Amino acid sequence: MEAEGYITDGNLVLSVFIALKLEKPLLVTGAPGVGKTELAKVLASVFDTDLIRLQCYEGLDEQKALYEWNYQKQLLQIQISRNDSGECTINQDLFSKDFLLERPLLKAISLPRKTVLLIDEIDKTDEEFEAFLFELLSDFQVSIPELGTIKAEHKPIVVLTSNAERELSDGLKRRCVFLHIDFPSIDKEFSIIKAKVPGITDKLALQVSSTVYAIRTQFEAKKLPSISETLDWANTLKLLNSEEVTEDTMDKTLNILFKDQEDIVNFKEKIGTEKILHTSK
Amino acid sequence: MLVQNLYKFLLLLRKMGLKISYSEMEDFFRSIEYINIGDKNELMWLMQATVVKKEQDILIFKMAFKSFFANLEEMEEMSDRWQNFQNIQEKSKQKAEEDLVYNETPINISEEDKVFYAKLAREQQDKIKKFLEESTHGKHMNPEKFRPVIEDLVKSHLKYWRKQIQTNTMEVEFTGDPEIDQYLYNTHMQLMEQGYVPGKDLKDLNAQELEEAKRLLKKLAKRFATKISRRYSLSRKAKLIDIRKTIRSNIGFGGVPLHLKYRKRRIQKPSILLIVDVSGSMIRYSAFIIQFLHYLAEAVKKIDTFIFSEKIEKLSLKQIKNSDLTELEGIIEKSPIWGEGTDIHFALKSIQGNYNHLLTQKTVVIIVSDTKTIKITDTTAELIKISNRARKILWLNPMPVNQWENHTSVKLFQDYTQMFPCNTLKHLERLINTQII
Repeated sequence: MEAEGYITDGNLVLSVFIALKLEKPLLVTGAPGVGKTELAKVLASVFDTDLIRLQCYEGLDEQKALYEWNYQKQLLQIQISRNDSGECTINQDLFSKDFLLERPLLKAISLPRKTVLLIDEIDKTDEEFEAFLFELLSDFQVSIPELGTIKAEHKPIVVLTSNAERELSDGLKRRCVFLHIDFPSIDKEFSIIKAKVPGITDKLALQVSSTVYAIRTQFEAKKLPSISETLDWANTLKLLNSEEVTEDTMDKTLNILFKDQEDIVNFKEKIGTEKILHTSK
Repeated sequence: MLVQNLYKFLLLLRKMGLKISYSEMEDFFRSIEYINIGDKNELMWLMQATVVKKEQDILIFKMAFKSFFANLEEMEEMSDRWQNFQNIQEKSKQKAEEDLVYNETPINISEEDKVFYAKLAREQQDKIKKFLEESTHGKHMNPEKFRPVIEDLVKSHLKYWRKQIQTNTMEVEFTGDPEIDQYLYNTHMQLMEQGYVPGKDLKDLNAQELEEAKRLLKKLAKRFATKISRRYSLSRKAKLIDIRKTIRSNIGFGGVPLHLKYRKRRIQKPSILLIVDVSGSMIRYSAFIIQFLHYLAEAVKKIDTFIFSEKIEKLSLKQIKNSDLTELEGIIEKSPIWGEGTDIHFALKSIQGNYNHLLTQKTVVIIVSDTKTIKITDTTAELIKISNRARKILWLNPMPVNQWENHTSVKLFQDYTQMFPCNTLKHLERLINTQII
C-alpha cells in the first residue's frame, strides 16, 4: 500500500489484512479527510481491479443502490407488441435481465472478477437501507423477487466509510471488521506529505506537519484541518516558493487550512499564527 | 488456558459497557491464527478490529487492555491499589459494625450502608452512635422488641445523609469475581486519570473537562438531531403515485406514463415541552440538558422550556440560543427561583393551568429532575393527567442509578414515565441510541 503512496501503520494494515482473510467488509470511521475513501481506492489499485463506488445520501433506496426495472423499456416493449387490433402479444419476459438496470451493489457481485466495492458515507443513509445491506454484506448475495437469488461468484472486497454523523446499527457493525483512522502523528503526517507532495523540502514538510498537529491539539474548530487540508496547504506553500512557514504566509493561507470563516476568525482571535508557530517548534 | 484468559478479557470488556456479540467473539478467535500471539501490539490491533466497533469505546478498550495485559511490575502496582481499595472498604465495614451497636449486638444494615456510614463526618457519625446508645439504655423497655424500629431509623438517617451529600463520581458495577473486579477497578481508575469525560458525573467536571464536555455535547446533539430527522424523513419513502402530476408530465408522450410522479408526504416533527428542575445542586445537569435539547431545535417542531423549583418560569428561546453552557448556568442562577426547594407538583399543575395548549398528542414532555420533591402523591396524580394528554413523558434523572431504589418517588414516577439516568455524557449517548423522541 505504501508503494501506492498510502502511508500506513500497524493497526491499519492488520485490520485490512483481517478483513481480507475473514472475507468481511471493512468499516472505516474517522474525521472527514483522513483517508477513508482513499483506502478503498488504494486497495483497488493494489489488487489491480475495478473500484465500484456507491455514494450514500439521505433517501438512498435499493432502486438506486441495487437494481431497478427499466420501466420505460418495459412500457415500450408492451407498445411495440400491440397488434393492429390493440391486443398485446408479448413474447419476451418483461422481468428478465434485459430489462434490469444494474446499480453499483448488483454490479459488484455480478462481475466475473473480484472488485473493490466502496460504500461511502454509510451514516448518511437511513436505518432502513442499512438493514437492507445485511444480506449483501454477510452472504454476498441479493434476492430479486422476479429473478431469484443472485450470489457473488467472486466476493468483492467491501469498504464502508462513516463520519459517525449517526450511530450505525449493531447488526451492521457486527458484520464488519472495524478500523478507526485518527488524525496522524507528526511523523506519520510528515511521511504522508513527503509521499504526496513531490519536491517539498524536509524542513517545510516537518514544519507543516508540526503546525497542523499543534492546531489540532490546541484549537477548538468546527472543522479541524484533516490530512487532505494539510496536503493542500503543503502544495500551496510549495507553489508560493516558501522555504518555511512564516506568520505572513500562514495568515495569507489560513483559508486553505480552515473551511469555515468562523474558524478563521476564531483562530486569529483566540490563538493566532504567532503563538501556533511558536508552540509547534 | 490462553483461550480462557482471552475469553475472560472479552467478558471484562462487556462489563465495561462494550457490546460484544457471539459473532464478534467468533471473528476474534478465528483470526488469532493470522497473528503472532506473542506480540502484544498485534493482539491489541486484532481485538480492536474485531470486537471494538465504536470510536468512543477505543479508549475504554485500550485502558482495559493495559490493565489486563500489564507487565509484572504494573501488575504488582495495580494489585496493591486494588488491595488498598479493598482494605478501605473492609475497614469501613468494620468501623460501622463496631460503631453501630444496639443492645451490645451490631445492627443489621446493608454492606453499602456500612461503607457509606464510614464516609460520614465525625459529627454525623456521633449523632447516630448517640442515638443508638440512648435507645439501648431507655427505661421500661425491652430493647430486642424495638430492634427492627431502631434499625429502620438508622437506615432512614443514612438515607437522609445520602440525599444531602452527593457521592459516587465513579459507578463501578462489581461482579463478585475478585479477579475481574480487580481489572474493572483498575480500568476505571485509569480512565479517570486520563480525564475520561464521558463517564464522569457532570457536576464533578473541572474547567478543562468542562470544555471537552461542551465539545462532546455538541457532537452528541448533532448525532441525535440527524437520527431524529432521518426517522421522520422515512415517511417520504412510502411512494404513492400522484396521478394528476403524472398525466400532466406525460402529455408529451401521448399520455403514456413514461415518467412517474410521486406524492410527497408531510413530515410531522415532534414538539418538546421541557420542564427542568433548578433547585440546589441541579444547576449543572439542568444547564447541560437544556443546551443539549436546544441543539436539536432544527430537528423538532418547537421546544418550550420551563425551569422550576417552588415556582415556575418560562425561558425564552432567544435567551437559550445565544448562550453557551456557562452563560446558561448564569441565567439560571440569576433567576429568582433558583436554589429554592423542589415542588414538581406545583410546576406540573401550573403548566396544565396556564400553558394547556402546549400539551397535545404530538408533545413529548421531558422532565429533568432528581425526583426529590414534596407532595409525591400529588405529583403522581399530575403525571397521570399529563401522560393521558401528551405523546409520552420522559424523565431524565441525574441521581446515580444505584440510589434509585432508595427513593419512593423514583418508583412511583417510573410507573407513568420512561425514566433514564442522565448524570454523565455517556448516559446522554445511551439516550440517543434509544429511540425516545
